[in-house]
Amino acid sequence: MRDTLRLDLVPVKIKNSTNSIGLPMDSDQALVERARGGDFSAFETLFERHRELVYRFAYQMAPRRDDAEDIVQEVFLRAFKNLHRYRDEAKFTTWLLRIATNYGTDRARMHTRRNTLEQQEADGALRWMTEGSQMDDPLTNLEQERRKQIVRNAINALPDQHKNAIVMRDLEEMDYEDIAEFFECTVGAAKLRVLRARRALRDEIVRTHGVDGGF
Amino acid sequence: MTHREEEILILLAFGEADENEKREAEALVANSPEAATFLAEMRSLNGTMPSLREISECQLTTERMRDAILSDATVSAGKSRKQKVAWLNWGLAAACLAAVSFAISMNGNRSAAPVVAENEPAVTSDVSLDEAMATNDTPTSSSAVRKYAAKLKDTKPLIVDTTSTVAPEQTREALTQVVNRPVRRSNKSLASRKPAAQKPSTEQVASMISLGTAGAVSNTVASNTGNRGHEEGAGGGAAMSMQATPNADVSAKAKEADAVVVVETSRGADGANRAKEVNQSELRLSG
Repeated sequence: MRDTLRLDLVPVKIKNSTNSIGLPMDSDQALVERARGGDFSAFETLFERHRELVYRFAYQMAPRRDDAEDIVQEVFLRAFKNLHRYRDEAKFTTWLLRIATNYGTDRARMHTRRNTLEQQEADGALRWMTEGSQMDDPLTNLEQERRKQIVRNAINALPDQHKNAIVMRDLEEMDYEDIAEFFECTVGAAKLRVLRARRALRDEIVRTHGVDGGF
Repeated sequence: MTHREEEILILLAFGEADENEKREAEALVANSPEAATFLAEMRSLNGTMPSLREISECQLTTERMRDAILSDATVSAGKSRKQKVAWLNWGLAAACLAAVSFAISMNGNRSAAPVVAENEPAVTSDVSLDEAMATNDTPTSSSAVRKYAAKLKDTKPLIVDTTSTVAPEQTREALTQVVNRPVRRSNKSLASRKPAAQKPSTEQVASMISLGTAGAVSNTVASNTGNRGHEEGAGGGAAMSMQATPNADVSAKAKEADAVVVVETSRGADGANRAKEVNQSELRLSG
């Protein structure tokens, strides 16, 4: 509680002020500059601000809470160690998501054996028991859970490019500008990537669950 | 459906189509049941997406993040220190190796032996030898040996060890003993020498007796030994040429000189038949 209070006070204290190069003191770039200079509280602020975004992104790559939290921790650790490599022309969030993508890909490659079918089933059963649902009708709840699982499996079966496009646009509802920055392409190319990713997702569902896709 | 039609339907299903695309998609759905099915599938897919956004809350705290960064920094510092120590160790090892190799190379230059061609015997000159042996028995196949023999001819004897490049002391002593033995050499060539003495057969001995040879043959003569006669004595041409010749010669000489020939043979310890040298004292001339 005390920690939260302290962290909340920091932006308020420096609000509406600018640093020597004209950036708002609470902008990501300014915080990165301060963190580069050894101000660890600035990096903590960055962590608090973007933790949820990275966590949601990581959760789509490793749909287990503890795995996603490990990914988030590793992403921010790598970000802290490589702050000197961050270029200001890119968004800090884009840079973080790129780190998360690279680490998630490596991690998935390393943990392929661990993700056995039994673990996935046990994970699904546990989620069913722990999370529950907002819906009252058990049948509707079951059907919704089944569809969710089908789509999640299909997303995980996609290549990384398609998967990232789907996650960023359809799950995280990011702007096409940010997606274009992530992929280092134009906005039109980003739209095309998302379009192809959706078609690939539909084809994957048809391939595994038939023409109607169980929908 | 074409790819373009699919794209329009996807845009419509996800709510990203503009007015023109909307009209085009509606027309397509109205005319094609396949397009209608496709649109329904994509809308269902889009409707499922929000449920995927519901994830459990992140419980990663700032304290945990701070601890992770600090522990990583500690581990990194330890690693870098270990790496420094490792580099120091490797550097010391390399320096020691270089020093040892330098010392070895310097020693090798100081005690370099005279260059002898490959597969040629080593020449040593620390054993005293008979001068004649040194000059006559030196192998002539090696130019190096010939050169050393010519150089040492007037100074000191030479021994050539063809068995090894550096002869051990024992081998040298044994060679010295063998070489120092008095060896009587003949001026005759091997071709002009008489053939080796043949053992007289039993019939020949019987014929000798029957011919009335005055000579007495010792019990050991021509018994079972393959004795080999020595054709010459130390006295050269004046010495008696004594050998176990065929019976006819022996009997003839015995007749002429009335001599008694005693030839002793012995069998060596190793079982090989060897002829024992006949001393002058063992030759007894009757009369």
